[in-house]
Amino acid sequence: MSGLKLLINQNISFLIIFLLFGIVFLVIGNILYESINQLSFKSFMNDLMNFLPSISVTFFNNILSTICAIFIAFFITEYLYKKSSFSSSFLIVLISFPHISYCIGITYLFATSGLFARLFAIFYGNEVPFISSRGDGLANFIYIFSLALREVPFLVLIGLSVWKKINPNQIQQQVSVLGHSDLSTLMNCIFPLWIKSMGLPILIIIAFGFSNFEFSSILGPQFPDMINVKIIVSWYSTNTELMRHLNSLIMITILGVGLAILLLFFLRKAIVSYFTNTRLFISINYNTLLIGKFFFLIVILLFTAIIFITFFLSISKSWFFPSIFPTTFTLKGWSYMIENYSVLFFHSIFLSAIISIFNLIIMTYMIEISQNIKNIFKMLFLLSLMILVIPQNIMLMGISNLMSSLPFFSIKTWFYFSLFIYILPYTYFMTKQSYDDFNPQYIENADVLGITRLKSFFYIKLPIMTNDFLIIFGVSFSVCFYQFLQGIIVTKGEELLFNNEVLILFSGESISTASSGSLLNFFPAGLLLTIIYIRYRYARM
Amino acid sequence: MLECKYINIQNEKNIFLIENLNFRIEQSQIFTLTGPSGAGKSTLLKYICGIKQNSFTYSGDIFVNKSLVNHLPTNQREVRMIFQNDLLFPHMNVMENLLFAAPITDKKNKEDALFLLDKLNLSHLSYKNTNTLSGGEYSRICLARIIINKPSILLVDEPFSNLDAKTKNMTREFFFKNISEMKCATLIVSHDLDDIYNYDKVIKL
Amino acid sequence: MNFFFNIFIKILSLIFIHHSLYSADVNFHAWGGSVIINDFIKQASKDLKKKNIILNHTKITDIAESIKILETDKKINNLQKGSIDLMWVNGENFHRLKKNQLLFGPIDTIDNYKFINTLDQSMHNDFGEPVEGLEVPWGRAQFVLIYDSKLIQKPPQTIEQLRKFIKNNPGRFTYPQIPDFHGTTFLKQLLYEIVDDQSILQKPFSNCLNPCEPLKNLMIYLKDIHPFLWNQGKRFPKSAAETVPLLSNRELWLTISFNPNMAAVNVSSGNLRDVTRTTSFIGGAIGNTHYLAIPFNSPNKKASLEVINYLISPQSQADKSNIEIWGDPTVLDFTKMNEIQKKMFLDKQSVHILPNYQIPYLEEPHYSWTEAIENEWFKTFN
Repeated sequence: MSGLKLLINQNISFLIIFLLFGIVFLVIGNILYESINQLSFKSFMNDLMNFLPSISVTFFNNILSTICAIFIAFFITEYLYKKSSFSSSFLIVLISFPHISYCIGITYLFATSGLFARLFAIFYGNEVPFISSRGDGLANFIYIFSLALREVPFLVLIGLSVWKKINPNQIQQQVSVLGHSDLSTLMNCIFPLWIKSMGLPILIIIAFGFSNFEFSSILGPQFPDMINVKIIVSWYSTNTELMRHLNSLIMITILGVGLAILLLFFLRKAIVSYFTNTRLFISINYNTLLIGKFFFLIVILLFTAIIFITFFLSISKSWFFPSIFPTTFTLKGWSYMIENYSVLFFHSIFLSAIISIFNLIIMTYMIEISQNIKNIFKMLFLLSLMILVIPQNIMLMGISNLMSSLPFFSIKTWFYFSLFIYILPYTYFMTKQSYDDFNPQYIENADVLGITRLKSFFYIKLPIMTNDFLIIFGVSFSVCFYQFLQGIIVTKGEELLFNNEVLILFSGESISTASSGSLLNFFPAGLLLTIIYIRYRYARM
Repeated sequence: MLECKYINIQNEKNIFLIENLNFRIEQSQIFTLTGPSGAGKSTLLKYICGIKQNSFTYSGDIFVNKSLVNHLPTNQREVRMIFQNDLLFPHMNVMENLLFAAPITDKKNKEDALFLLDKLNLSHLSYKNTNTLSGGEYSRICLARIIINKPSILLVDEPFSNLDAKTKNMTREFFFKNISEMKCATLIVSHDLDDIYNYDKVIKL
Repeated sequence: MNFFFNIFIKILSLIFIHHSLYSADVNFHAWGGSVIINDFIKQASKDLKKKNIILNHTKITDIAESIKILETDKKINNLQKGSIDLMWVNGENFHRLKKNQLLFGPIDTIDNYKFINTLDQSMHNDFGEPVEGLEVPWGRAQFVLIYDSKLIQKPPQTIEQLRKFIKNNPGRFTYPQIPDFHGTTFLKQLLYEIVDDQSILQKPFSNCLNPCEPLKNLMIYLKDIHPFLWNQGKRFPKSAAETVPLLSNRELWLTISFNPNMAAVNVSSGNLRDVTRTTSFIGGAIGNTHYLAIPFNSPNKKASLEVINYLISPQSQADKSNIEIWGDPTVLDFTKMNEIQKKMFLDKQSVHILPNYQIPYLEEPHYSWTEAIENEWFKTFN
C-alpha cells in the first residue's frame, strides 16, 4: 500500500511539474509566436541596426556592473566571514531595500543640488547650484556602480554560505604551509572555488540587469537609452512607430540575455583558469581584509545615506538647496499613506506571505517526494532556469497575451500566478541547497528505528532545517513583496501590490508622500529578514 | 636548521600536553616524534608552523636557521608541513596542484612534476581531477606536492597511514630518497617507527 | 460542511470570474501619481456616496494600461462585463479609443452639460479629433512657463526671448524628454511660434509638404538651444513632475507646465519657493481640455453618467479649480451660471498664477502632428 502511495505521490510531482512547464512554455511560446508573427525579418534587421547603440550600451553596462558586483561582493564576503559580526546581518537586510528609493536616493546624493553639493556649498558659499553637466558617460558610470552595489547584499548572502562550504580555513593552512601568501590563498584557491559556486546568483543578477526599469530609467543613459527603457516606453506608447518596435525589442532582449549569459559563462571559465594558474600572488603579502572593509563601509554608508535622505524627504515640507536639513517639517506624507494605503499595504504583506509559504510547501513537497528521482530535479532545475533567464518584462508580456487566449480565468488568478512563478526559482534553488546540505544519516537512523518518512520529516528534518526554511521564506517574501511589473503589464492597474502605488506616487508632485511610502515599503521585508537572519546567526541547535 | 626551545602547550583545562620541550634538528637530520593519541604531536607540529588553535595555550621559541620566527606568519617561516589529512585543491587538477606548490623561480617545474609522478607510478593521473583519486593516490600526490616545493625544513604528520603495504614501501623509499637529496631537516610524526628510515633521534611525548 | 462548501465556491469564483468583484458601482481609471488629484477624487467619492454611488479610483500609471484592457475585452468579445466604468483621457489616447470603437456614447446628454463652455472649440475637438459626444470635458490646461523671480527679473515671453535666455543662462532650462506629454506639448508650442501660417497645424500632418519646413525649422531651433540646456541637452527629466524639485532647488530657473495654477498649488504645499511665478508666451499658449469617457462594455453606464454629471457640476468644478484643493481650471461657462453658482468660484488672488492679462488660447494641433514631432525628434537627437 505504501508503494502505491509513493507511486501516487511521485505522479503528483510529475503532474505539478508538467502543469507548470506547460504554462511556462505556453507563456514563452506565446510571446515568441506573437513577436515573430508580427515581425518580418527585414524590419527586425532594420530595428537591430537602429538599436545597435542601445543594445551595446545595455550589454556593456550590465556585464560590467555584474563583474563589479561579483568582485566587490567577494571581498566583502571575505571580510564578513572573518569578522563574523552583527554587521553582516545588517547587510543582508539591505536586500529588502526598495529599488526605486535607492535610485531616487542616488540622484539626490549626486545631483548638483544634492547632498554632496550642499555639503560643499557650506564651504564654498554658493546659494545656487553649479550648472549640471551630466552626460551619458557619467550616467553609464553611475548606472554600473549603483547597480553593482545594489546587487552586493544579495551576492553576499549567498556568498557567505558558499564561503563556509569551501572550508577556507583548511585551504588557508594548506597554502601557508607551501610558503605561499594569504593573498595567494584568496586569489588562487578561494576565489576560483567561490565563483564556481556562484553561477546561479550571477545568472539572477544578469537577468535582472536586462529587465529592470527603475535603474535604467532613472540612472541610465538617455542617448541612447537602454533596451529595458525602450521596451516599457513602447508598451505604453500610442506612437505607432514605437509600438511597432516592441516585437523587435522583445526578440532583442531575449537574444541579449542569452548572449550575456554565454559571455559570462566563458568569462567565468577564463577568470577561473587565470586565477588558478597565475603565480602573481604567491609572494605578495597584502591584507585584502582592508579592501573588503572599504567596500563594506561604502555600501553601508551609501545605503544609510539613502535611508536618511528618504526619511528626510518623507517628513520635509520645504527642503531647498543649499540646506543640509529640511527647514520645515510635515507628517502629511505619512498620514496620507497610512490613511489611504493601509489596506493595500497589509493586503500585500498577506498576499506575499501566502504565496511564499505556498511556494515553499510545493517545492518542499516536490523535493521530498522526489528524493530518488533525478529526473524531477532536472525538470525543476530547467523550469527554474527558464523563468530566471527570460527577462521578467518579457515573461509578463507573455502572460498578458495568454490572458486574452484563456479568458475564463480571472485577473486575480493571473496576478497570483505571475507572482508565484517569479519566486519559484528562488524557492527551488534555496530549498534544494538546504536539502543537499542536510545530513542524510539522520533519516537513515530514523529509518532503521522504524519511523515513517512523514514522521521523520516533521520531527527530524523540519526542526533541523527550520533556520534554512525561514531564510528561504524571508527571501521569497522580499522578492514577492517588491514586485511591480505584474501590476502594470499583467493586470494593468486592476490588481496591485503596495510597491506599485509607491512607484506611481514617485511620478507625481509629492515626493514626501512617495518617500513615506517607500520607507513603509521597506519595513516588512527588512524587519522579517533582520529577525530571521539574527535568529539564523545566533540560534543554537 | 630548526630549533625549538622551552616549548609548552597547555589545553583548555591547563593540563600540560607538552612541557619544556627542547630540540634542534640540523640539515639532513630526521627526527621522529612519537606518543599516544592526544599527546599533542599534531598540535606541536602546527605550532612550529605557526598554526595555533584557540583552545590551547602556547609558549616557547622557534628558531629557523638561528632566526626567531615566533612573530612570523606560517608562509614566511620557511617551514613546510604535510598534514595528517592533507588537502589537494579541488578546483585544480593533479598537475595544477603540483605546479602551484613548485618554487616560483624554478623554470623546470613541469618537468619536475612529471618526473615525480612517474616515480610514483602516477603519470596516468597527471591531468585528472582530484576528486577521482583513490585514498592512496591522493596521499602520494600530497607527498609529491611537498617534494616539488623543495623544502629545507619539513614537518610530516603520519605520511603513510593511508597506504597499503605494497604502495607504502615504494612511497616510503621515494620519500626518504628525496628528502635526503634535499638535505631537509625533517620531523616526522609516526606511530610505527619501522616506517621511518634512518632516523637520527626519537622524541617521545 | 456548509462552511467548507462556501469556501470552495469562493475560491472557484476567485479563479474563474473574469474581472475583480468590486463592490463599487463605478470603477474610475485615472492616473494616481498626484496626491492632490487623488485627494480630490477621494472627496468626490465621499460626496457621491451620499447619492448611493460608490466610486472606486483605480490608480494607474498610464491610461495606456486601461486602453490595453479594453482592446483585449474587444478581442475576446467581452461586451457587457468590462472592469472599467470611467476613464480620464484625452489626445492620442482618445483618438485610439475612438478609432477602435472602445467608447460608449453619446454621453453629452447629461444634465450639467448645459454649463459647459460650448463656445470653446476645444470642448468639441480633442487634439483635432471631433469628440462627437464620446467624452465630456472635465478640466482645462494651458501651456505656461514657471520661473524663479529672484533669479529671473524679466522672464522670456517669445521664442526668441527664450532662445536668448537659454544662451545667456546655460544649464538653467530644460523640457521633459520626448515622448512625455509635456515635452511634446512644449515642442508644439515652439512650432506655433515658428510656423508662418498657424492654420497648417490644425490640419493633418500629411498636408505638410515633404520636407515639412516648420518641422525642419523646429529641429534647427532645438539644435541651437540644446547645448545650452540643463546637462547640455544630454539628459532630460522624464516628466514635468521631475522638473519641480529641480526648479525648487534652483538647478533650473525656468521650466514648463501645463497647469496655469501649478505654481500656486506647489508653493502652497511647500514643493516650490515662495518666489515662484508664472508667465507664458504673449503670442498665445496651447491649451487643451481633458475629458471623461465611458468604455463600451462598462456594466454600470448609468452610474458612470451620474458620476460625470457630478464632476462637471458647478460645485465640483469650483472645488477643482480652487488652488487650495487642485487648481485645475474649469470647463464651465460663467455666463450660464446663477450668482450662487458663480460665487463658488473664488477670485484667485495668488501672485503665483498668471497675471491677469489675456494670453491668447491656441488650439492643440491635429493629433497626427504629435507623432510627427516625436519621430522627428527621435531622428534628430536619439
